[in-house]
This record gives sequence, C-alpha cells and structure tokens, in this order.
Amino acid sequence: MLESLSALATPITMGILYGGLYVVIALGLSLVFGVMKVINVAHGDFVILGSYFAYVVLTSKGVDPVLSLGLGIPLFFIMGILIQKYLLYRAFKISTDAALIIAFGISLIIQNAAQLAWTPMSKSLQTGYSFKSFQVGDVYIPLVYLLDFIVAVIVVVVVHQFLQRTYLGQAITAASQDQQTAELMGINPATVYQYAFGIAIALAAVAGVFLGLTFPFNPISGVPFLIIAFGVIILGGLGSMVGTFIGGMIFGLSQSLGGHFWGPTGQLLVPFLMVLVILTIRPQGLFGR
Amino acid sequence: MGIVIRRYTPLIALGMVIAILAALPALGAPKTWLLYLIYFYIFLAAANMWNLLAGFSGLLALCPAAFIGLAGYTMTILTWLQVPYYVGLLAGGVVAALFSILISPSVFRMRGIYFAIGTLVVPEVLRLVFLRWRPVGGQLQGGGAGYMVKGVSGIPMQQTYWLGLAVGVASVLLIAFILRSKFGFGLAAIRDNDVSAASSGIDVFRLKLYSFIIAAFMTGVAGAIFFTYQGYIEPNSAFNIRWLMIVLLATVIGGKGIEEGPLVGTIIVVILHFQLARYADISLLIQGTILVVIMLAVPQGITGLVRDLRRAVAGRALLPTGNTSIFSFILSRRRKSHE
Amino acid sequence: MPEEALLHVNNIDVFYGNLQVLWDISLEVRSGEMVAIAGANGAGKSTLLKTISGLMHPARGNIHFNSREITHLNAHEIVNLGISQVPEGRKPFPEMTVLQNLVIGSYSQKARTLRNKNLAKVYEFFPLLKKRKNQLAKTLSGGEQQMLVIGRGLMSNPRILIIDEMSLGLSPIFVRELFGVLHDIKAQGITILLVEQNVWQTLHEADRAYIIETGRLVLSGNARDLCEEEEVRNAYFGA
Repeated sequence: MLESLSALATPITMGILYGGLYVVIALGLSLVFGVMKVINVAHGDFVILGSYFAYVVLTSKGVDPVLSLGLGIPLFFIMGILIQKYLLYRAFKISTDAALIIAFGISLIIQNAAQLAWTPMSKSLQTGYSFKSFQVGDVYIPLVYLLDFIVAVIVVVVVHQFLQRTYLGQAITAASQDQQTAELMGINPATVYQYAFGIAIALAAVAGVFLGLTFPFNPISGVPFLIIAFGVIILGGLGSMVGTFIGGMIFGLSQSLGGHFWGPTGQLLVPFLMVLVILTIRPQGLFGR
Repeated sequence: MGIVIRRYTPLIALGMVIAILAALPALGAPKTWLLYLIYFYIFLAAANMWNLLAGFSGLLALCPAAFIGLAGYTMTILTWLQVPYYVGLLAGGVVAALFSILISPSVFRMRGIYFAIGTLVVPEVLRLVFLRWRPVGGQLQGGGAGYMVKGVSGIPMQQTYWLGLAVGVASVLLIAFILRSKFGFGLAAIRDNDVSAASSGIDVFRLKLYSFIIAAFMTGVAGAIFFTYQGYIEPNSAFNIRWLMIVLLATVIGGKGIEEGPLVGTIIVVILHFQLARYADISLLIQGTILVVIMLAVPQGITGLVRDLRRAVAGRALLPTGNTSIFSFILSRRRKSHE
Repeated sequence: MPEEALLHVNNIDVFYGNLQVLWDISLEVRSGEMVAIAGANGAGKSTLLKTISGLMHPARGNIHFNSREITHLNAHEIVNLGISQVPEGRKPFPEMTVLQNLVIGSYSQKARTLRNKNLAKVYEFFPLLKKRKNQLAKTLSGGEQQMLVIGRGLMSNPRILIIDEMSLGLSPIFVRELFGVLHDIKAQGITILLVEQNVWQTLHEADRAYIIETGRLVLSGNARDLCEEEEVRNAYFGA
C-alpha cells in the first residue's frame, strides 16, 4: 500500500505541475468566452502555432524558446487583434453560431498550414535544460514541469492585476458581466473584443512555448488542449482566477493519473470523460445563472 | 385539372430524376461517375441530417463523426460475426440511434455553446475507446485499431451505388416529410422562441430528442455504407473531424436552415472533394478558407442568396431577410402553392 | 425668449424587428430641468430611453443633444457627449466592488481626468457608498444598489442624467430620500430625465412631464398641472 502510494507520488506531482499549462490556455479561452460568449475552437491551434513559432526561432537562430516570447507575445497579440477585427467580429454580428463556425474554419486552416510548413511529424523544443531534473524526496521532477507551474502563477497574477487595476481590464471585466450596461459606461464592445482576443492569443503564444518544452507536438495536437482547457473553465468558473488555477491542476492530475493507470489512451480519455461528466452535472458551467 | 398537375409537378420531376439516377449503372455510366455519385449520396444524407439538427432544431451538434464511426464499426464487427453486411448497415444505424439516446440525458442538459463543445468531445472519446478496444478478432500489438470489412470485396459497385442512392433519397424525403408535419411546425416554433413554444404546450425536449435520434440513425446508415465501399475502418479516420467539416461545409455553402440547402451544398462539396484530391496536402486549408469566406460573405448560403434575390426582384425587399425563420419560409411556400 | 433645448427628440418611430413600439414621439429637455416620462408598464418608456442612449435606433425621426444630431451614434459614443443613462433594474456589475463600479463609470476619456473630483462628489451625495467601497456590488441591498448605479452614472460627468425606473421595488420612504438627492444633483446644474411607473410621486417631484400610453405621447406639460388633469387622475390615481 505504502509502496503504491509512493509510486503515485511522481505522476501526482507532475500532473499538478504541468496542469499549469492548462491554466494559461484556459485563461485565454475564458477571456474571450467572457466577453463574446463564444468558444474560440481554434484556441488550441493558436497554442500549437505558438509552439511552432518558438521551434522556428530556436532551430533557425538558436534563440531560447522562453526568450523568443519577447517577439512572440507582441506578434501574436497583433495577429489576434487582426483576426478578431476582420473575421470573428464580422461573423459575431451575424450570429454566435457563425462565429463558432468561422473559428472552426480557422482551426482547420492553421492545422493544415502547420502540416505544410512543418510536416505531420511530432516536434519538440530541445534546450540545454530540457532533460534537467531535480529531486524532492523520492521524486524526480523534470525542470520544465516546474517551469509550467511557475509560468501559470506569473500569468495568473499578471492577468489578475491587469483586469483589476486598468481601465481596459475593468472594461473587459464589466463587459463579461453585463455587456449592455458596459456600453452605457462608454465602453465600445468591439474594442473590448479586440483586446480580449489579442491578449488571449498572446497567452496562447506563452502556453505554446511551455507546451513545446514539456510535450512533443504536431499540427493537430491543439484539439485535446482546447477540450481540456474548456473543462478547466467550466470546473473553475469564469473570471475566477483561483478556480481556473485549481481547475488546471485537477485536469493536469487527471491526465497524469489516467496515463499512469491506462497508458497513453487514458492520458486523454480520463480528462475528456471528466469534461463530459462536468458538463452533465453543471450544464451551464459552474458559473451558470 | 391543371392545378392538380402543377401541384404534382415537383414530385413527378423528382421521380424522374431518381429513376434516371437509378438507371445510370445499367446504362453503362463510367465508374468514376458512379464513384462521385456514391460520395454525393452519402454526404447528402449526412448533410441533410446535420441541417435537421443545426438548421431546423437549433442543435449545433458537432458529433456526426460519432454516428458515422459507430455505425461503421458496428457493421464491420458484425461482418466478422458472419452477419451479412446489409443487415449490418441497418444495425449500424440502430446502434448510432441507441447511442444518441444514451448520451441524450447528458448532452441535452447543455445549452448553446455548451452543447456544441459537449458534442465535440463525444467522437474524440469514441476514437480513444476504439483505439484501445478490440471487440472481435485477435489482439494486435497495442490493442484496438483497424479492421477489414469482411466479405465486401466481392460486392459489385452498382450495389453500393444503389444503397447510396437509397439513403440519399430517403434523407431528402424524410426532411421534406418532417418539415411538412406537425413535428416540423413544432421545431419551427422552438427555433423562433424556445420559451414560448414550451409554454404553448410543445414538448421542446422531446422534439429535439426525436431530431437527434433520427439524425443519428440516418447519418449512421450513410456512414456505414461508406465503409462497405472503403472496405476497412480504423478509429482515427472513422471518428475524424473531417466528417464534421464535410457536413458543415455542405450545409453552410448551400444554406443552413433551408430545405434545399444541403442538396446544393453537397454538389459543391463533392466536386471540391475530388478536385482537391490532387492537392490532398492543402485540401483542408482550401475547405477551411471557403467555409470562412462563405460564412462572412453569404451567411445565408447559396439557396438563401437566391431566395433573397428573388424576393428583392419581386419587390419584397422590405421583408427582413436576415432572420431566415423556416416557419415563415414554409408558410410562404404553402401560400404560394395555394395560389 | 425660449432657451434652446439640451435634448431634443423629434417625431421618432421605433421598432423591435417588425414590431413598432413607439409612434411619433417628440419631447425636449431644457438645461437644468427635471423632466419625467411617466406611463404604465409596457408603454414604451424604456424603449424611448434606449433610443436616446443609443442602444436602439429610430426608424424615423431624429434626436439632437446640445445642438448636435445623435440619432445614429452608438451608446458608447453618446456617453462621451454627456448623456449618462442609469439602466432599469439596478444593474451594478455584480462581481466588481463598489469602488470599481464607480471608477468604470468614468471610463470615457473626458471623465477620466475628472475622476477624483466626481468620486468625491458621489461620496458626498451617497456617504454610504464610501463606507461600502470595497464590498462586492452583489452584496448590497436593493436600495444601496440603486445609489451605486446613480453614483456610477454621475461618474461620467454627464450634462444630463437619465434614470430608468428608479423607484421600482424600493420603499416609499427610501424613494423620497432618493428624490431628495436628485434635487441636490439638479442644484449642481445636472439636468435630469426620469422614467417612472410611479406616476403620482414623479409628477410631484418633476418640473415637467410627458405621459406615454402604448407607444404614443398622450399628454405633456407642467408636472403640477398634470396632477390636476382629470384624465391623469382617473387613469393613474384612481380618484
């Protein structure tokens, strides 16, 4: 019994740590969902695009993936604003279904484009610290997993401060709670959508880098991350930073324990089933009316 | 007398088209034509069913691949158990329908975007299950994965062709019937206003559930026919998101929520499918771009555009065209047929 | 010599989709007045306000504010010009604190520079809000929420404050208190436009009033005079 518990210590620690990735992905997804009430089904693909961006910078210029974010974050931010302005917002004015369908189209375009540019084969971001690990008790923890967790903490704090302390952040918060009243405050919904989407895609770039450091990725690996991140928002609650953080840890755990007991299939099957179960129990999400 | 003839003209025309299509193999049509048409029938049935869900029942169900894959697997596994494949086709549809009933208590609690994402997860879960699970035959290395469909290599192409034609025609007739029945009017009332429909005594849940089950069955049968033609099945393609892409594209190009929409859209999708086969590596890129462009430029689809143009020409441009309620659509057609 | 009106609504027709809800409505509000729009539930009062504040647009007619046409401007543009609407049903942002609600009221560019001055003014009108400033808005009582949304409306430094159904669901004593504050606000030079189902009290507080029935203007004039009108007494006061 004791032995089996200590055997679990490794997957538990790892799951909690790389759950940080889901926190960052879910935060981007929920920013957009909060104001537009549309799930950007291409969000996972933007994350993978972020991984490829770091991959290109690393393999061509030898720049460390984390440093490449200095360019990646502004680049993805602008890309997000443009996509929102010229594609999603126009669809959104037609209907929410139209916006969802457009996002689905964008998702397939990114997947196919990535396949053309980088082949369907899996890639990973290999750096000097990729295989470093440290020991805590009996558990060996890869350094990159710890980075995932640290980044999640940093991102949560920064996003929280931005939402609480700036006019723009408060405008996004207000628009998520009551769009019509927000308009009466002088808040332009189109502007809020653009910034929320730009920030979400910039967060995808961040998540992409650490995902690439943690797992191998290929052009279609964004879909499971989207689904799990969606699970995180429903579990953790929209707009609740603590909830999102804990939700990310729980899904990280479900993935690592699923993998521990049922192999590679269980790694996805367990979190997917959890998403379905949560949706069934709380169909409006835990933050529903 | 003239009125009677006019009233039945569309039916007679439809009958003649079906008769000609059915006679094509006997008339010695080239095999490539038959192949194109088989794809057309199967895609048409699936797109018609998706239109029933997303267009007429307000259910943005992203899980057609679940029905297609499950029915395909059912049919395939049954052929391993010596069950003839044509029995397997129906059994596949039934299993898909049963599956839709099984998940309905869960997914029907979800609304709007939650329903969409919930149904998006379903085929992914099935894909993972079938990657692990090997119901018949020996264990391959690593568990589940692909199967040959036994005993279908000898089936002549004409037979698959006629099966496809049957399911395609059945889907068209089924939609036509549903839209003109009490069921269809109930759906239209729900789409216009969920709450007021419920308060006027319409059982919203039950009508949506019926749509879901019917769509699961028909989509499943169509999918199973596809796998008898293909001759093998494996989880990654059976539960692939490309199935969703096909029905979505066909319905959106043709016109979501319009009876003839999928018919027009599927013609374009099949042409695209075969034209793009040469450029397989960029086919999704092109299809995705078309989807985005159509959705932004002509959100009502081709048939919707034609209808709007006609209205504008007829000097009825003042009517709101953005809100394409099928209810008013049916009423206007009815009125026309009474004139 | 008649003064140029601050807000001028000219012959507007407004539709919800195909359904017409307002017919040929005209009204004007002069600088420094307190004007009421009264009428029963469903008369179209809230639609009229939404049209003025740019959440809806008229099919015919036009609206001018401060000699500038605003008929086709959007809500967020209109706030910048000095029109502030307090929505019906007391809608503070529930998951934001009292202070955050007030600060977001000063979102428009001009109001941001005057934020501290306006905040002090709001705390002066509603000292309770200062006490509650770090509480989440959803934890306030109905009356406190009404104070908060009026305060939030003042934060945009408006020339005219439009309040939709202020007294709905509040006790008469509290409503009287609120009207007292409105008079203080008016004394500071802010024009007030009220929409009320509570016709009796409103007519006693306002300078002038318009009465709307099923989307049409039926009466207008000096509020005190309207109280005396037999039609009004019969229709609204059951006298």
